[in-house]
Amino acid sequence: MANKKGQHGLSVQAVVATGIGIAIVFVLKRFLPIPTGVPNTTIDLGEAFLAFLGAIFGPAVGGLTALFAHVFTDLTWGDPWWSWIIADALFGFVIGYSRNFLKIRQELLTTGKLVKFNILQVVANIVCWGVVAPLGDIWIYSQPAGKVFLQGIVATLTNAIAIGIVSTLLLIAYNKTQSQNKKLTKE
Amino acid sequence: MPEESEITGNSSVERLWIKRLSGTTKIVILLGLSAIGMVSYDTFYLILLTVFAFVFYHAAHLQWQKIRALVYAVIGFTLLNLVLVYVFSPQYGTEIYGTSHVILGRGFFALTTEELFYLLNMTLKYVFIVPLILAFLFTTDPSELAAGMNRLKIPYKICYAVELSLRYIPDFTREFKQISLAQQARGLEISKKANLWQRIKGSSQILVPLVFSSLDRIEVTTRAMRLRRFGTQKKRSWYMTHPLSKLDHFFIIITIALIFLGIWLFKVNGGRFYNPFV
Amino acid sequence: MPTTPIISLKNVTFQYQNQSEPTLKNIDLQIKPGEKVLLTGPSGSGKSTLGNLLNGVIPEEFPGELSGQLMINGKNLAELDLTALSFEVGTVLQDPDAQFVALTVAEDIAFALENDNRFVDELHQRVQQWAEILQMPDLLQQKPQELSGGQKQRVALAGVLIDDEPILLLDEPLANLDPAAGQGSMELLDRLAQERGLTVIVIDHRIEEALHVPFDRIVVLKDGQFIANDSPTHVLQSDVLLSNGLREPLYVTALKDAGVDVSGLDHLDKLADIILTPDDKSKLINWQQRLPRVQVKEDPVPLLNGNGLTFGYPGQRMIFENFNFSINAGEMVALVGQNGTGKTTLINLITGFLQPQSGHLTLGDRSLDSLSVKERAEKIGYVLQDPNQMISKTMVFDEVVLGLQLRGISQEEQEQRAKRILQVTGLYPFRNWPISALSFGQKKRVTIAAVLVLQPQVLILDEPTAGQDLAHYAKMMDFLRKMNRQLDVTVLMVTHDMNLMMSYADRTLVLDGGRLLANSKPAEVLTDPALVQQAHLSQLSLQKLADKVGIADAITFAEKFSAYERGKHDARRV
Repeated sequence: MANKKGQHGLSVQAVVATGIGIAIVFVLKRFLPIPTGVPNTTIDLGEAFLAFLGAIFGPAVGGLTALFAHVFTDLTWGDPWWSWIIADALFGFVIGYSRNFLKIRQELLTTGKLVKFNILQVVANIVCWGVVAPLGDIWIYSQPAGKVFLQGIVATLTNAIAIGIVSTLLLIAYNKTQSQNKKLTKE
Repeated sequence: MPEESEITGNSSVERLWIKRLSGTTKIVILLGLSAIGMVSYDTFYLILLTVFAFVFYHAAHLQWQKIRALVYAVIGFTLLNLVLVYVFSPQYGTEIYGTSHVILGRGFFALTTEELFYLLNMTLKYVFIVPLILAFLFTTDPSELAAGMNRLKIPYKICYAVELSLRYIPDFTREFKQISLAQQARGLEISKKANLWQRIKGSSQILVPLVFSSLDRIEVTTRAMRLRRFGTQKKRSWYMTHPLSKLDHFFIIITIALIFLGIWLFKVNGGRFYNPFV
Repeated sequence: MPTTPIISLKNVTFQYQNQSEPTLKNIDLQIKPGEKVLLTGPSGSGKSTLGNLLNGVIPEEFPGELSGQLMINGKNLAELDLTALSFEVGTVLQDPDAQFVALTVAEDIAFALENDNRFVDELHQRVQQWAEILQMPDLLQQKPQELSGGQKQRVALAGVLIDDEPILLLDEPLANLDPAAGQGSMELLDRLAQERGLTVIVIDHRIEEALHVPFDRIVVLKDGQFIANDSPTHVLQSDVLLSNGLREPLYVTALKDAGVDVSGLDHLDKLADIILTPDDKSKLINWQQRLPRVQVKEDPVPLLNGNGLTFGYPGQRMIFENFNFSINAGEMVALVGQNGTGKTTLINLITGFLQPQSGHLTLGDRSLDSLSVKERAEKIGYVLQDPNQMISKTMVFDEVVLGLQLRGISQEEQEQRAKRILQVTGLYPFRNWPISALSFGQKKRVTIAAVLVLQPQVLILDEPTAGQDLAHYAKMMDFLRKMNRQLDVTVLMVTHDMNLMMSYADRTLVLDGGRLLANSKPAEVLTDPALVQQAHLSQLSLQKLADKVGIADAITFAEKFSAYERGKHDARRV
């Protein structure tokens, strides 16, 4: 990436990716939730886009995007729920590490890498939504364990599905556009 | 559903004192009180916060019809949450307060005063935060947010990412709707008629154009910002910075005082819960 | 003693990392302080690359191999990174939405100074000063979404000029503007350049529109090399533009084709200053008389009708009140009018994306009112301006067939219909290509094919030729004409391009403030000065030429010339 001298902290591209990422995740969370049939649970395509963004731009962009997109979404619903915000930010941060092995901007995607990506996302989902978010609910909000773990498990499942399908598809599509550039010759 | 103008804050009422509060102050109040408010279960303290929040709500002169839908949604969500808590742990109140005064029924689902009291406290947490957020949402100039965050020593690049997101939310909302309609014209079914799998697949038909045009946008915008020297200095100034007024200082001090009061109450109550049962 | 050039390129060659040959080849260019240069060339000629080299985006953002000598304002390339260069060269990007990075006009103008960490007082004072210079003090608190294209461009100019760079670089400044706003923009640029002694480089292929104000030089790039680098008059006297897929001013083409010896004409870049001899005039008059008359379609039959349409967004002023229009079967119709005047809203009402508060739409004798978006799309196809907003598959065939799949049409019929459309649209050889490998124009064609496959009776296109040079423009328009004739599709095009309207539209709908100002032949619209002014259109230079020469019937002349021009494109391709 193009950040070298004269840079402090995030690269300009990371700043822009975060800003645009927050806006898109926000729009998707708000306008494109897919009900699963289980009451009050939706497949959140915002998380799918977030995982894709993190896979390209890394942990910092992933974490910050998740954090602010979640805060904004909660604010428009009148109530920030901090334990889930923290869990989301952590998830964005962790999934951002997939950039290091996917190397999707430099190399071609392989099935092996996609499997690794999906293992990482499932583990990250279990840790963040299945453990961190419910524990946060218990410790911070003193909510009963049964309820919060059920919510956590549902979130883990729906996010793992959304990311497993949609992020994977996005990565494959992105890979196709990238691989084209590699052998560009003038028409 | 709230209109998109909310996140970018629009209110026709000018020069209200709440509008003159700096972004920094509003962030401090919101973060500070929501942090202490989520931890504390002291009923009187939560009521105090609620009163404080309604000062702002009142000052914002919100039109009921603008916030009606949102308020109903929050009420619905809160009720559902209360029911869920009760269904999963009807004896949670007893667990916390150590006594059991059964009002109704018996066995696992016996309704106790303790459980009701616990649920009341939980509800208070919403009751205080929602009006506060509504008041700030409609009276804050979004331009002030980034400058306000930067004053709180959050790195300016993170602040600017937030500014960019606010700048792009209306654009992407419009683009999303446009793409969604264009894909519906092509035959995409996003109504309830389609099953879950079809809907996930179908929604990617909207996602792909949105995502790939946004990746292009990231590149072009990066270039536009670099051409105007974004990120070359250790610090950045903000056109929207205003010095903090007396009113700002006043509310920041009150907020800090409230937080200390909340912490002190933990000590007095010997924990987070105010317990009327012993 | 000549002044030292402010920009000097010697033997500059640049090759992108991913490409097999250089995009710029041995470029030599000297630009003197205060010069105004129009840099032009067909798509893919390397003109944007050259622009990116001058502002430092290359090599920093696009890695590649750069050789040769580059001096800007006395400094060597080695000492100039993107940041250092930004103090010398102010860049206005093609897409005003990307250029606008802040939440309000004031913040965007202040952006560069904020990044330099200047004092807040200075920010306010400089922003105020520039808002006055560009006559927009009342816009300072506006959001980008609330501005017109012309206003966005002014904000962009203020945002780069605020730190007094000596050189101003504009990438396709005319791309997103209606004709009147484009002229306004060029005049503003001219004024600023004069007042502040700026060196100005405009990159654009809309040569006639750019030459609305005087330039000192036109530089033409092709395949990474200069094929012309001379005064506008000299460049226009030669045939270098037309023969390389660029459009020259219409009056120049007319003069040349009439047999007038343009090499003797001074000020060929400014029609008002050209002095024609009586001999020249009679040549023109004779020539235009010999041009064949245009056949007019008789007895138009209305196909798409709107009656009493009323629409406004909740809580806002009505956009349409009791609005009526009709579009005739088999015609190609241009929908024109200034930005924000309701063109997009009208299209959205037709496609069912928006529902009118009252009024009715009919197609032939069938009412459209109760049809869903999906059902209407089978009768009325809509192609968005940006193909990237429509494409949702990675392969060409999959994209084209998608609409049929989603309608549950049998596999066999899907393939049959897709195959036919792919053939008609000339995409058949690419059917198994990834879409990302196609050019912009080809992508656009894919989106048109994907809409046509549903066999609509009406095809609506938003700016069908946006961002395409003459060669690609002619290809796209001929393609649309072919669709119009072969598939008997009625075509409705939203456009700012007066040329396109004149050359390809049978009829023009002029919209202004939610009212239909005209529904008539393009030539009639353009020869009505009051209409032109009110709807933010611009007259063709051809009409001014007709006045100058004394051709009485400017309408017929414009019509005949457009038909003649179209014929020339056709002939060139055969």
